[in-house]
Amino acid sequence: MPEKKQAKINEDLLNRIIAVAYRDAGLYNRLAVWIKAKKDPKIKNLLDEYRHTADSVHNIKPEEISFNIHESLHDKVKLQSWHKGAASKLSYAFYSVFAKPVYAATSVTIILVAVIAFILFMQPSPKHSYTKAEIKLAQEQLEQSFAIVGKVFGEVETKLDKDVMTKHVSKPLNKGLNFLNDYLIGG
Amino acid sequence: MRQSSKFDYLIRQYKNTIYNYAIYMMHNRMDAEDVTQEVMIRIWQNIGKFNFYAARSWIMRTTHNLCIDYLRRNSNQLKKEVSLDDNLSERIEDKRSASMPDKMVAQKLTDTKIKSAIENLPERLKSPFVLYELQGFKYKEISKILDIPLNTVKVNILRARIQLQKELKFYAGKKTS
Repeated sequence: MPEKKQAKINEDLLNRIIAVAYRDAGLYNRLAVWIKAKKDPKIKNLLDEYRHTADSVHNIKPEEISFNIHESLHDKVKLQSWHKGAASKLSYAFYSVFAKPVYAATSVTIILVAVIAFILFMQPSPKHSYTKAEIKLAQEQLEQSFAIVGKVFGEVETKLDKDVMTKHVSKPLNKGLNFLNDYLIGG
Repeated sequence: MRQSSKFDYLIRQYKNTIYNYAIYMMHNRMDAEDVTQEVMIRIWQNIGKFNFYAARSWIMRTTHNLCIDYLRRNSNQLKKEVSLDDNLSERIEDKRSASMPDKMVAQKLTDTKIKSAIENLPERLKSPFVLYELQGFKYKEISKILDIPLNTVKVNILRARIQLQKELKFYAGKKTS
């Protein structure tokens, strides 16, 4: 079996491999390195080694400061106005939201949208009350329109019975049957 | 009232970031605690002078400068303190993890090995590496904090990654031999 051709790892390729391993490479570089790693086991090994280290580095948990920094600072600097407890928690929550311009802008936008939506939804919908005369007029108009529709239907029925059926259906049909009789009897 | 609220927020938010950075720079927890306290005092003294929205960069720049000052001052005593302090903390942690599964202990060992390898990096590589990989700062912020060009930050992080890999290979080689 022919041995796979192994590329020499130059500085540029190494840089790309490292960037991919530490997950800060672009899509193009990721694809390029992935293809090369598929072809060349040497590159794959190197990528795996760097990736393992990168993962281990990223998995390091930050240590928490072990001593009470508040107490020690009270001894060193006189911070009489430094409040504790609920007020402190409240101020922390406030600054957590408004500490960054992006957060502040987002929060303000959300609050504004919420306020506008609230105002819009809570406004009473306009109610139109009709007078008795208006209602009576509407009823009359409704009756009139029903009467018109009834009249039209009546006229159509009459026309269909007297005009269409007799002139255009019965007469030609009779004529045809008579002709057929004459033909059969005569023949 | 407002300043103390800001100060309180900054302390809660950044105390561990400062402390962790200082640990990597100072090699021992006692000095890291001193630096953390000193940074806090500087924050209180300058609370109205720096831009609150850019506090993170200002705080880390102050931390970095203080670490450098401490290192220069205490360079002679440093090595002795490293071994004493780190051994003590590891002994305490070992007792705690005695009942934990093997996986946790193995993870702890890997962490210790990597932490030690990071601590052994030269300062010019270590600072940008710790800020970028462990504390999540961006290249631009690191450039501001360390007052070095952006490209230097990128190159130093790359070099740190390569050197860290070499260090860890050296560790692995020592372990297997």
